[in-house]
Amino acid sequence: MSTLTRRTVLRAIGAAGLAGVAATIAGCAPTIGTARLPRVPAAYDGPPVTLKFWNGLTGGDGPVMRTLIDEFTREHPHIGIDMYALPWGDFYQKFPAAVTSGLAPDFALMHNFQVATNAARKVIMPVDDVLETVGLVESDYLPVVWGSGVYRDQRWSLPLDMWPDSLFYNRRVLEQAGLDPDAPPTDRAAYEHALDALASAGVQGHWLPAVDPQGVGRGFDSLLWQFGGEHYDSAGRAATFGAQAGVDALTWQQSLIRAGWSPRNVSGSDASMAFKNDQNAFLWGGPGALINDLGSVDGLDWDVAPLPRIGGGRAAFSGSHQFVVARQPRFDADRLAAVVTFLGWILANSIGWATAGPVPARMPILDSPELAELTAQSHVAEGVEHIRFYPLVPGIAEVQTTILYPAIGDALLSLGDPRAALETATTQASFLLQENAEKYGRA
Amino acid sequence: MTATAVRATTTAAVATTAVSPSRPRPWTPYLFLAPFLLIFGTFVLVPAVSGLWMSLHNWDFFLPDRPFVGLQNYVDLFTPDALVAQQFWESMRATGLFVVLSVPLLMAIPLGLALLLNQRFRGRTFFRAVFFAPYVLGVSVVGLLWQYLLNGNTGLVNGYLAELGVTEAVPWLTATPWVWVSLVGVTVWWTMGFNSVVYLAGLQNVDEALYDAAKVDGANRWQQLVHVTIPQLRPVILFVLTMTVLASANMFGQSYLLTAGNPSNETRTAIMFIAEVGLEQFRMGLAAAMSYLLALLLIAVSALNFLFLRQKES
Repeated sequence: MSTLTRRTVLRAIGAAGLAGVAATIAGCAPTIGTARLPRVPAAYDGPPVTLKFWNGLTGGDGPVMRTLIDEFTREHPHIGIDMYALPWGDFYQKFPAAVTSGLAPDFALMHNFQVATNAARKVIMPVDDVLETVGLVESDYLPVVWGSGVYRDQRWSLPLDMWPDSLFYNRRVLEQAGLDPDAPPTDRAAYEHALDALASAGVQGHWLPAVDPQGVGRGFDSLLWQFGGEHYDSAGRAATFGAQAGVDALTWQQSLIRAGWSPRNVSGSDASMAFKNDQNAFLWGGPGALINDLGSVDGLDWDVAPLPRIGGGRAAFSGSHQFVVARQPRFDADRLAAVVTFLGWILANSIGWATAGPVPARMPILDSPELAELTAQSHVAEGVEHIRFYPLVPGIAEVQTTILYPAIGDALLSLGDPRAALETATTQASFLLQENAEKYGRA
Repeated sequence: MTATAVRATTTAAVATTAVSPSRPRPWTPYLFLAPFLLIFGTFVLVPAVSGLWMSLHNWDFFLPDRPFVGLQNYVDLFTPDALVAQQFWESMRATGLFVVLSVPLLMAIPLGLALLLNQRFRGRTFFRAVFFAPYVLGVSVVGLLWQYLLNGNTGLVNGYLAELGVTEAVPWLTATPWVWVSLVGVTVWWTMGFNSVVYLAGLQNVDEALYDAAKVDGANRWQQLVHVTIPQLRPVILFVLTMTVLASANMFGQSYLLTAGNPSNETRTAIMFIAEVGLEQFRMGLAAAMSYLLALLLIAVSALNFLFLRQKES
C-alpha cells in the first residue's frame, strides 16, 4: 500500500512554500503603470463623488482640517471627502504600500522633506499640469517654498503652509527676572544676557532637549544654517554637517548646559512642562505643535517671536505640509477634477488652516488682515523670510532622524567632543546617502 | 433462524472489523493537521522563507528594482570596519547584556515569590493576583507609566529621592548604568508574575510525600528546597528558562519607549535596530539578514539550554 513518506511530505511543503514565496513576490511587485493625469476643468460639476484623503493630522490640527472639509462640502455638495488621519510615522509606511497595492487614496498631505522620497518611489504624480487650474503662481510664494515641490525638473506637491521653528517665550518668567516681556532677545548677546539674568533669578531659561530626537535635532539644524553651514553637498551624496559651522552650532548648544542655563538630560516633554509651569523661559519649536498646546494652558502668559540670531546670519528650520496626488493604476477624470477643485479651494482659503498653528504658504494670505488677527501666527510669520528647508533628496528624512538627531542627542547627554560626534555621524550619513542615491537612482 | 441471524450479525461484525479504523487511510492524519498547517504555512513558513529570499537582495518593498546581491548583506555584517556591522553587533551586545542581567533575576525572584505564594495564609489569592497584575498590561502602558515615574527632571521617583535628601537627580533613562537598572527593573516588575504562576503550578504538582520523607530523614527547609523542590521542578525550570531567554532576547518595547536607545545607542537592542533599518530606512534585505543571524543565535542558545538541563537529569 502506498503511503506518504516523510520525504514526499517535506517535498510538498517545500514546493508549497516556494509557490507561496513566488506568489508573494509577484503580488508585491509594484503594479504602478505609466498613467498620466487627465486634463480637468477648474470646477467640478459632474455626478457626486466621495474622495479619499490621507494625512497624519492626528493632533489638534485634525479637527481644523475636518472643519475646512465640512465648509468645502457645504459649498460643493456633490464632492464628499473621507479624511483618514494616522500618525505620520505610520502614514509614510502605509501610504506607499497602499499605492503599490492599488488601494491608493485620491490625494494626501505630506511633509516637504518626504516629497522627493515618494516621488522617487513613484507613488505620487507630477502635478505640473494642474498648477494653473489650481491657481498656483510663483510670485505668491517664497523661493524656498516654491522650489520645495520640484524634484528632477517636475513639480510633485502643492505647498499648504510653513512651520518655522520659532522662539516661544514665557512673559511672566521674563518679567520676574527683570527683563522686558515685550522685547524678546533677537541676537546672541541679548539671548545670553537674558539667560544670565534668568539664572540670577533662579530660573534655568532654556531647557534644551537632549533626549527627544526631534526637539534636539531641529534646533541644531537652525543653528547650523545660522553659522553658515549646510547639511549635505549639492548632489545629496555626502554629509557636510560636521564642518566648522556644525561644530560651532553643537558647541553653543552644549554651552547652554555647561553654563547651567539648561538642566541636563532634558526631554522634549520636560522642557514644555517646565515652560507651562513658569520654570522655563524659552522654547524653540514649531507653531503647529506649540501654538494650540500652549494656548490651552490656563493662566500661561506667553508669546512667540522668530528665532534669535546666534550664528552669523538668521535662519530657522521649517517644514511645510504639501498636498500630493496619489498615483492610480487608472485615473478617473471625474475624481481628479474633484481633487483639483478641492485643492484650489483650500489653497485659496488657507487662512482657515492657520488656526491649526502653521502659517499659510501663500504670501498674499500671509500678509492679509485676517492673519494679523491671529497674534501668535502673525509673530511667527515675521520670521518666514529666513526659513530653510531640507534639500530635496530621496530618503533625506531617515538620514536626519536615524543618524543626525541621535548623534546630537548623544553629544548633549554626554557633553563629549562635538567634532568627534559629528565626524562619526558624517561617516554614517554619507554612507546611507550614497546607498540611497544608488537605490533611488535606479528607480 | 435466530441462529442464522446471530451468525449473520457476527459475520457483519467481523466484516466491519476488517475495514475498521485500525488501518486509517494514509492521508487522514494530514487532513487533521491541515488547518494548522495552513496557518503555520501562511504566518510562519512562507514569511520565513521569503525573509531568507529577501536577505539575498537589496530589497526595498516600494521600489520595483530589487537587485540580487547574494550573500553581500551577510558579508557586510561580518566586515569588522563596516558601519552597519559595528551598529549591529553593538545592538546585539545590548540585547546580550539585557539577557544576562534580566534572566537570573526573572528566574530567581519569581521562584521565591512562588514559594511564598504556595504557603497557606489569609489573602493568598489576593496576593497571587496582585503579583500577576502588571503582566496583563501592554508594553505601551508600562512604558508610559515608568516614563512618568523615572523621568530625570520631572519624574516621581527623583521627586521623592529629592525629598529624602538626594541632591543630584538620578539620570534613570539617560546614562549608564542607570538605564540598565531601569530597563531590567521595569521588566522584572512587569513579567515576574507570569513566571511565578508557572512555578506555582509546578510546585502544586510536587508530591507531599517527598517532603514527608525528607523530614523523616532530618532535612531542614533549605535542604528540602535544594533536594526536593528544585529537582522536582526541573522540567518547569527548563520551560521558564527557555521562555525567559527568548523573551528577553526579543526585548524591544521597553527600551524603545523608555530610553529610545540612549545613551549613545547603548540600549538600542537588536530588534530595535532591525526595525529601524528595515522599517524606517527601508533597507529590508539587510534587516532580514540581521533577523536571520539573531534567530540562529537564539536557536543555538535554546538548544544549549535543553542540552544542559537534560544532561543533569540523566
